[in-house]
Amino acid sequence: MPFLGRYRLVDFPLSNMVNAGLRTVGMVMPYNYRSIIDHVGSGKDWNLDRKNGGLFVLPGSAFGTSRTGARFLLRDLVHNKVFFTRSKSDYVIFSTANFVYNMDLNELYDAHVASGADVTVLTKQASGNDADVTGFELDGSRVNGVKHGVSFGDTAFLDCFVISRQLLLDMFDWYAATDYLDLFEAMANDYGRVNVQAYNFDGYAAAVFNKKSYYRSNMDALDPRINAELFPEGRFIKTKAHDTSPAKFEVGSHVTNSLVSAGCRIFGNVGDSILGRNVIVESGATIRGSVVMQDCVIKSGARVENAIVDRNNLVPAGTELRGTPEDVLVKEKGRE
Amino acid sequence: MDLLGPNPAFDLYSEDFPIMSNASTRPPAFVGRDGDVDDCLVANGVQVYGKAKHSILSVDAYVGEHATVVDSVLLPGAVVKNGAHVVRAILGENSVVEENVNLGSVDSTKDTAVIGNDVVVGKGE
Repeated sequence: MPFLGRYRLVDFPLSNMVNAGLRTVGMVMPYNYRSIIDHVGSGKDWNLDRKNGGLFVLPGSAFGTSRTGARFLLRDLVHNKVFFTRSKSDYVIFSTANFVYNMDLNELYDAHVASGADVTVLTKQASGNDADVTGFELDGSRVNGVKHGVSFGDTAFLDCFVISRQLLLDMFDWYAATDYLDLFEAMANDYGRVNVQAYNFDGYAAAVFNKKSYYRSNMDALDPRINAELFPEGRFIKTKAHDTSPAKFEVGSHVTNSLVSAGCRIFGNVGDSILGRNVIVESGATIRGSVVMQDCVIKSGARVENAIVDRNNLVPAGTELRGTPEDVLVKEKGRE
Repeated sequence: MDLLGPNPAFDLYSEDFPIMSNASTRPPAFVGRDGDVDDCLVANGVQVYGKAKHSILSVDAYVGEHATVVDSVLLPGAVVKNGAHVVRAILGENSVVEENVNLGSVDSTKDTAVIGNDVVVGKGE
């Protein structure tokens, strides 16, 4: 899923892992894995093209991750047991690609080792209601229940946790009969035995599960403070490299409060928006409060307002794509 | 500078002639609420909170609030702090023009101001 112009959501967890020093990363593939392979390739852009360790592409089950609420489907993990048995590492860090944040995962790992917990989950106080986010019920910092959906003030799961490799392999045996469940659902009756500790992340983190949260999290990045948290000095978010020229702001263009990716050519007006690579905004065209993905062309006189325009769209001259901040218009992917 | 303006002789954006380069790992360029960019080439990682006109802004170049950059080339990481004015200058990599400093001259008979890499230009220099 493209995010913030030049990124994809997966760049964030993948970069967090690599920046924390992880050198062996397995990725469980969705049913349709063309675009993810196209993006990560051999893992070269994350320095994961290695002889020892590196990036491992792990098959996922056909309807695995698409089931609502399942983040770490046991079947997907058990299916790839050999990846874990062959490893010599003591610990495994798991993450989905549903959250955007930039964090030194060593903090999570250090907390895990220091507390002696069996599992340490990365959490954050929910700042609003979100039916797609997993919540934890806590006793102190110890997890004693899991639920789907969070409301304001709940402990939201950032879909990232640490576990010892040996315990993970043991769990494969314990929960073999319920492999259609998410790991944390399978653990539901076991929170007395398995010590799961929550580690609170107090930086910026956004869930990206639907149109609304996708739009909001993109717009969040226009706030310089949030932008600085997502892209701090020395902890870069890495992504697939492209040969794109710098963006060109032509004579007479007018751009305010926007993120503009390389390769864009802007003749018209852009405000409060995010432009992907190689977007062309012709003179007299206006983009406001929108996310316009790569290779789109906004023709002269066209107007795009409060919209998400997927890649390769051509917005014809003089036409309009208009949503409202509450109900953003989505223009599906255009023709390749 | 020849790459600026409409229809330059050399088209950077030709699909038939892509320019290969090393790729930066920096976020897209950010133009702030009061930022104003006119006739510029702007690379990733650039932040503009002031005004930039007819200039090249390389990776991670920074133009602060109420600062202006005109007819200039900012090399990677060059910083023009709040309220500074830069005209007809080349700023080296990671060089800094301190707040409210005026650098360069609109007078085209004078030499272009050239600031070396990592050089900090303060007031009165």
